[in-house]
Amino acid sequence: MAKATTDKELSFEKAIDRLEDIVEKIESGEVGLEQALSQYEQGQALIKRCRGILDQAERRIAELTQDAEGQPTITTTDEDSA
Amino acid sequence: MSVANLLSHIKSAVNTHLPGKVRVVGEISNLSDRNHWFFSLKDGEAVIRCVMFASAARVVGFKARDGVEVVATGRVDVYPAQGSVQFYVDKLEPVGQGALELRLRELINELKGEGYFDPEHKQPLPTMPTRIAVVTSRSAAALQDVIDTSARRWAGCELVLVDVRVQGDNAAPQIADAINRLSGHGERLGIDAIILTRGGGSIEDLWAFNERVVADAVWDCTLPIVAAIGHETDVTVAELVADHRCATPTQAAMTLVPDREMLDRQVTQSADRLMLALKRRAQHERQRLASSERHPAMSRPDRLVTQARQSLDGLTQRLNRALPAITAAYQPKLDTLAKALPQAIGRRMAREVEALDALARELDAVGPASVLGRGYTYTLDPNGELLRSAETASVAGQLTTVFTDGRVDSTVQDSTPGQGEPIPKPPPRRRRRKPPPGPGLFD
Repeated sequence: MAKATTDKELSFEKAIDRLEDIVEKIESGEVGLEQALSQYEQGQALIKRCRGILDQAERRIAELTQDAEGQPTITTTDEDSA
Repeated sequence: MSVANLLSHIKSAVNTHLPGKVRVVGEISNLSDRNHWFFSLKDGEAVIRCVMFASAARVVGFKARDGVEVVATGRVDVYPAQGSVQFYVDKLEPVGQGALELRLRELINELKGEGYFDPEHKQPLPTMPTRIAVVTSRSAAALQDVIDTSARRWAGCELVLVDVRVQGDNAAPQIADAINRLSGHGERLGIDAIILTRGGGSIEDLWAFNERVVADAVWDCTLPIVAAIGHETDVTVAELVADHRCATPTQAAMTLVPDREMLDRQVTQSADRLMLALKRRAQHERQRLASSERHPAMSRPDRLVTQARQSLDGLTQRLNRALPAITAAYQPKLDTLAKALPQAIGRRMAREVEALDALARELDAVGPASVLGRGYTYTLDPNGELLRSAETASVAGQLTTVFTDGRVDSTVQDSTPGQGEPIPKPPPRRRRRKPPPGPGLFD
């Protein structure tokens, strides 16, 4: 875990890794009881985040276009126009 | 000669001059392809009848029709009974195809030699891409396949279309340019991988994906590329250079796009483990607490006191046993000191007494008793105050003189100041000498 990103910004993969970490710590008895409880809460927040990412149901299709300076950029298109 | 003879001559002439296989270019006509193929091969000036047995015909890799120009490979033979020349074809290729296939094989060998296909160069595919670029034609069925498959796997994965021509003269530069642009800006745009794809076609149709400019673009690309070009049996250079090759666009999407269901299960599993871990932990702590409550220290605290007392007694006993040993070690030293002490004190006392005597003698020497004994007197006034000068004595009137053996009272008759005896300097007082250094008390 390099930079300290807040749990809210973690990618799915990082969030799952952090979750595994928390579960192991609690299972192993490594942390004190109060800490275990607070980590449990963090774990629940991470689960919520992961589910949120997966639940994105909007089909997103975009196209590579050019911006004003001629640099490649992404423009979201409607499903129908694709 | 007979007809048979004639035909025999013709046959042997043919066999002599065209002994082995020949390759002939011509146009197909009158094709009958129900089982064995029967057709004619013609050009502007001549025609020859052809037979292709079913076994050979089965392997023909294109749609042979009347009017198609082909390269036929086979043997020529003369059939005397019908007086005809027959071309027994065992291989049929459209014109140009052979050349292209050869060129492709050459290209593949060339690039392989230059290391374009090295497995070590291939990048691993991202495990959970959230944005994938698709390089293909906007109108291609391949694109729709990718879109549909991706939606089924995980709709949250965004697809970015890069519209290019996928066949024809302009195709290769466009494809290469698209890949280069993605390679240069992909990271900034958050693109995790590329799908390069198009549907089936002839070797000419797919040729753009064999061009070196595309091979270079794929090789240099900083993002991982999954290529699915043509049908499963079609091999193109782009696919060989790509980081991963799939048979169809659908499979390409399946390979890259994360499987939402599987990930969902993973999250659920972790969630279950989390809850279980906490429950177990809480239980564990509860048990610890319960056993602490049962522990004698908590339920019978007086026992602790008894235990402590016992420990203390034990320690005391040990101490008592140990003490003589300790004192024994110091005994000799103590004895020596005990002897030395009175000796030291005795010596000290003697010295003090000596000093004291000396002092007393000195005192006597300067004390009034000895002075008086030598004939001196001292005089007091009527108040009993000592008179030191003749002047004060004359004023006093009455005097009392003290001798060693008594006192005499007298009255002043006359005084003569200035005719006395000045006081001699007293001898310097002898400082008390320190006792000489002897053995210390505790040496």
